[in-house]
Amino acid sequence: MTDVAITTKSQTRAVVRLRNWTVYFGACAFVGFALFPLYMMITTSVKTDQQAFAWPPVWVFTPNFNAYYNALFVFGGRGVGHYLMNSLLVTVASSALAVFLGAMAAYGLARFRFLGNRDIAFFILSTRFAPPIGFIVPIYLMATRSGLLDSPIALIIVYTSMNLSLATWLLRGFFLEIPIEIEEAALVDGYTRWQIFLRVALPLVRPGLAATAILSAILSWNEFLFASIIAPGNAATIPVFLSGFSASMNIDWAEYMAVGTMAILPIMLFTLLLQRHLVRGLTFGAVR
Amino acid sequence: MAAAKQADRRTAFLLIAPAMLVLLGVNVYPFLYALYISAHTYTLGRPTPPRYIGLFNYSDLLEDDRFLNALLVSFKFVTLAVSIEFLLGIGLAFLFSARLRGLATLRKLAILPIMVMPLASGLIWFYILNENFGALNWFAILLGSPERIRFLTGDPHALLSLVLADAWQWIPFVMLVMYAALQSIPEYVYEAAKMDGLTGWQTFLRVTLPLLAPAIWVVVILRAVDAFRMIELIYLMTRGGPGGATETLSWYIYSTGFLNQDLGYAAAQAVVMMIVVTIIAQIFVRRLEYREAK
Amino acid sequence: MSEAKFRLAYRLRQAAAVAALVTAGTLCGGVEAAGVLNGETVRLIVISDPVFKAMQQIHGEMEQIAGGKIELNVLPFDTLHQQVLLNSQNKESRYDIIAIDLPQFGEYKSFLTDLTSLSQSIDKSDFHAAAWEGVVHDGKVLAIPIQPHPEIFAYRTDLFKAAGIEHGPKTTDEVIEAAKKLHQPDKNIAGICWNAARGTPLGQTFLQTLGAFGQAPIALNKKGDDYDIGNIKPENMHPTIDNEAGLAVANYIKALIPYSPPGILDMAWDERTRVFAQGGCAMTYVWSGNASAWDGDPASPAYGNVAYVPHPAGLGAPNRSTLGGWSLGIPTNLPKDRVELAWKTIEWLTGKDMMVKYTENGDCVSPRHSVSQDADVVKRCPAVKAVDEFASANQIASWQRPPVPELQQMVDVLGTQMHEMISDKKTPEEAVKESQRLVDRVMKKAGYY
Repeated sequence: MTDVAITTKSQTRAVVRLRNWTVYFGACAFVGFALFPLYMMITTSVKTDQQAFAWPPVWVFTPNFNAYYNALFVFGGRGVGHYLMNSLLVTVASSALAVFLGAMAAYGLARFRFLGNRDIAFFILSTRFAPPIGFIVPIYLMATRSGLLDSPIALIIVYTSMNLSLATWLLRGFFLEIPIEIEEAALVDGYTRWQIFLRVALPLVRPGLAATAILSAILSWNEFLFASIIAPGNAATIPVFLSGFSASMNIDWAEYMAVGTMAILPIMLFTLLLQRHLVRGLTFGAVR
Repeated sequence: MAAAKQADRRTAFLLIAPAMLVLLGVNVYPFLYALYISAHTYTLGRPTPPRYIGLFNYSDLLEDDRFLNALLVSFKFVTLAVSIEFLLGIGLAFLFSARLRGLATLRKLAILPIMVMPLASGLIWFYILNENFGALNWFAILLGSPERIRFLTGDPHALLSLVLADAWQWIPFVMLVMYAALQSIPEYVYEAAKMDGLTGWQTFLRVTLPLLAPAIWVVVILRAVDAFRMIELIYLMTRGGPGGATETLSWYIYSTGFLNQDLGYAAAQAVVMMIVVTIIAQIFVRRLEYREAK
Repeated sequence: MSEAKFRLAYRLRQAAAVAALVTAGTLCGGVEAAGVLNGETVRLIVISDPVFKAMQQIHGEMEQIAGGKIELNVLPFDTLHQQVLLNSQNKESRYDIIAIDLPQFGEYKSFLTDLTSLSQSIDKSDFHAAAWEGVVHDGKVLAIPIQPHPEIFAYRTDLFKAAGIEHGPKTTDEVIEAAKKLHQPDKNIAGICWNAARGTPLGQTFLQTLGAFGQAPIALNKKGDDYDIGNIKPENMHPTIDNEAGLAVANYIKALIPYSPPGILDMAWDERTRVFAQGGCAMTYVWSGNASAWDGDPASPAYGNVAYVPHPAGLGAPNRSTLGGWSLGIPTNLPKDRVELAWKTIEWLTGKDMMVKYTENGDCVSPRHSVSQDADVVKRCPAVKAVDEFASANQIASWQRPPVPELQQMVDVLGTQMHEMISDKKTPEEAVKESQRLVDRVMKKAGYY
């Protein structure tokens, strides 16, 4: 919705300019608000303890990057490379699985009529309601008994499950948006249902796939609770690495913030790559 | 025709089955286990095995003031957080829809908060809101406040601080979704409205909003469910708050199960929480489906 | 060749072979057969406290000395606790060595290996008596101390001198007097920093101060001025909070509030250390290992201006500082063939040489007299000397936080009730009575009586 379209002829350019300045002001104010904690995070990571906890707060100082060095090469237990590899593996695998399985389920729910369609859809959404905290012990027991404790596979399965509800619901909306005529035409042309799914429907919802992939990746990359319980050592991810900088009586603030800052970068990169698809992609059948 | 239907049903089954398998496997067993363990007293690491006590945990729940308080606090938090996130998110979506130069870059910057690890964002808000060395208190004093504000230890400040931290992270998400939904509304809809003589405000109410409705429903449900489950912020910022003022159901379960090691009781709470959320979600989702049917 | 010459030649050939092997081994980076680990990997689950951070810093060196791989899984406190408990239920332990916080022994003792016979090889007399006592439960040695330290009292000698106060506070009354004199909010200097955050911080403050008033929180048997925690029976589990000492502690805590920094209601271990290091308060309770925040930082106003005393006492009781900190133990579900490896590693890690190395890397805690009295160590870590003196004077104990499984719940109750008191929602009498009632309920629910 743009103001220009609705503007009547009687509005002067001055008013338009005032409107524009208001928009800029609002946008900048919000971006300032959004970036302020990030700014605090970055500055804390390059301050010494004395500087970080000074009162009044210190705004001008010479940054030092010891914390980054420490976090990357000295502290953390097993070394950042170990955790990074685990995070990458788990995030990529669980996002891919969530998107793929979610797309399949979404298509099945969107295009086919059968008894229990609504209920299955609701069940899939309801899996998101489960408070992780309540189910940590049983998940741990399951992982142990199946011999998957502290292996990436356990985490991948859990994260896929966590992301499936979002994936299915988002993609279902997208599939519902595609005009049925396209698929019916393909049916007439002799395509099987599977081929229609793979070659006709999926490409049309590519934006939705991108959106789902990004949101799933963000969740898997940043998830802490399950990772700390079922993957504390061999399969430990970056959030577990980060949490290690919190000791029993103090936090290594600079290192903690350094890891927090660095952890955003892969996600930013990933989002940047899929950027074009993302925005166009989050429509919800607003227009049928 | 019947054969086609059969084939259809099989295809549908094959499409949905893998996802369902994962979900059932990961969700159903834990829920059943939680039900089972909620009928016992169970503490990890003790030599004594779990002791069966029937529905004792549930009857304890009904009398438990702390539990009722947790429900109330959860409700307060979710309502506040989701309302603010929704109103500001949709407002910002309109703001960022204006065709002005540089707005696209600003928009890309505005979604950075979504990517930050909750484990880190909670701590940074703790740092900002801290009474001893927090920047916000410095601003407050600069602006003339006579003494430092107890952002994290005051009532109702603590809950509002949590809402602030949550809103910071998720307003951009709502904004993004609403922005995309707005983008998908074609020009001719507005032109038609203009030709019909509708003012800007009327257009918004009678044309834009209904078109955005499905997106709005989905985003509200998602945020509500996620806000209900939120725990990292409480863990890092208030840990239950002054006298339980920020003790949501999630935190109470954590405190009971992990800090007090009373796993049976925590399981009972988790079960009740699931039931409550499911009932509320059913209400919302029915309304969403009603809209979809139209 | 004669018999003797033959033997000699044989021996010479042997010696040459050995020499060749050793040389070859050394040249190939041959640390393989030399160290404690013998090429194996030892798995530890620990936390990021000073001693383990020191281990991370010298990790490479340690692996060389030990001749194997050392796997350090570093986790935060709650996660570590959860993992140890969950691990105890597995058929086979996933970790060879676990880090145990002193108050956790009550909870863990049912799955810790008895090290009494193995520990014969350690010179107990080198350890502080209180530190060694802390790891002995029901007559068994369940772990070896590696970073046990007491909570002590630090004060700014320069500020004290300027205010004309002669010596560090010995009693709680002296603390309040000093706090009154030194509290200067306009200069951003508070009288005293301490743990008052809701929950564990305040709960522990209460228990430790109760100890300084000569009272244990449950009905333990008295042993002179101290209490016996070696043999705790169900009848010892009755809470003893609602009494003269408990009320005195509550009143003391309340009296400290006006002379505390602005954020006192949210102040825990990290904040009080930071603020004191910043010069934001004149006195503070502090765990001795954390003193390196100012002892090791020349930029801090407190650097070189701090002296230490044990917990100031009340009601005429003797000064007692509470012992805490970390020890290393072996889970009972560790496969038997790995126990020896785990033990040898623990023995090495808690040995004198390694402890000196830890102090070179930021860990200013030493439970060994030999290390604490080393001149270099004292220069690096002044607090270590003070702690050594307190230990020798019997001013350190661990009965203030009895090693019972319900300890954490007791701490929670006290932390919640006392926080309501300092938030002016309850009177001290109400808080003490309610704490007593709730802890009593906890004990009853656990089935002690």
